[in-house]
Amino acid sequence: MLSLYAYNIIFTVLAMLAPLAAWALARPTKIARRGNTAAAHILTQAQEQASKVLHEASMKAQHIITSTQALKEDTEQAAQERFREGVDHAHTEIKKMLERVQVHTEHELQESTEHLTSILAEHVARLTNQLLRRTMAIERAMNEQAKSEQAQFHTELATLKEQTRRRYEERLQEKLPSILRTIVGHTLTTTDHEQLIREALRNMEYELLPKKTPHESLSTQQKSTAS
Amino acid sequence: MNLSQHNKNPLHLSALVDPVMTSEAVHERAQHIEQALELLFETQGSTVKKLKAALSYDEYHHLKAYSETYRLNLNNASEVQRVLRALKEYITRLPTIKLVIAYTPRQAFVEEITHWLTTHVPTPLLLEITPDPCIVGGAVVSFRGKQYDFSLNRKLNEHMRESDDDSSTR
Repeated sequence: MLSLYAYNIIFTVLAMLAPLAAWALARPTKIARRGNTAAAHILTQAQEQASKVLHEASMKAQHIITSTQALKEDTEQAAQERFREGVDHAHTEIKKMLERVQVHTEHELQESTEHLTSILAEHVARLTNQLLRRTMAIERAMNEQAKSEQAQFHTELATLKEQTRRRYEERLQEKLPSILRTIVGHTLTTTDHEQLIREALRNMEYELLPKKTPHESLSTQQKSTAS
Repeated sequence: MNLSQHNKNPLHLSALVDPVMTSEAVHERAQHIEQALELLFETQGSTVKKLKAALSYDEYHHLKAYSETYRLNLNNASEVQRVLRALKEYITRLPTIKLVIAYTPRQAFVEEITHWLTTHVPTPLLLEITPDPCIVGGAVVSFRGKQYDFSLNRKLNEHMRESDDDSSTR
């Protein structure tokens, strides 16, 4: 593979030879004029040689271009391969790094979780103890209150019983007359009623009879005494 | 029969009534008298027949006995009308004795009361019996504008009042 410097030199030489080739191509006329066949022959040979050189140079240039193209393609391919290799390598490295990071993170996470769990467990235990103590205190207070309420309840119950008994007696006293009347009314027979009415009429006899004057009463008494 | 000593009616209408009449009997008698007066108002027909048609058997025979005693001509419609009108007013103005008792009495007992009143009270008078279970037993008698309470209700009240006084003094 030729470098660019080589290509530069080749093309410079070719460029230098080009005027020469042009002069050589123009010289046959002059030579012909002078009538020198050998010179014309040499010139023709020189022309042919220049053409050959040009042809070879162009062939070489073409070959160089082709080679350069191939090289370029190879370079590109190699570059691509290297790029691909680089990417793959980078992928692998990144993957490894991620795995390391993941492992590290998981490890950290586990440690943090364990740490937090232990802290929480301590909190819970402390709070549970507090709750237990407070619950027992509340229970004691409630028991005492229940006892006092029970005592109060019994007192109120006794008072209520007494009030109810008194109210019942009062109501009974109020209702007793009507109850008594109802019982008596249902107990009395027709004969009892008739007897009571007769008694009432006898009591009324004095009121129903005409009133006597005191003189009439006295004379009635004297008559009865005399008899 | 103890006839009223204070009967100032010249027609002697007390002879035409029972000594004690119940309010139902007075009401019935008044109706019969009214029927008789309506019949007598018609000019045709015998007065005696009309009386027999309107009055009950006892009522007619009472009237007949009265006519013989006090010389009432039963064939004279106007005389009979006068007596009947006077009788109707007389029986509705009879003095009333009201008896409130605790039950509805048998007819036999009503007759017993009637008989007792006849022998112990100036008659004739109107007997009004009213049943009222509230008095429990006995009777509440109203006569001459006064009321006499001989009911069991009053006795029970007095008894309970005495019991309350006794329990309060203890």
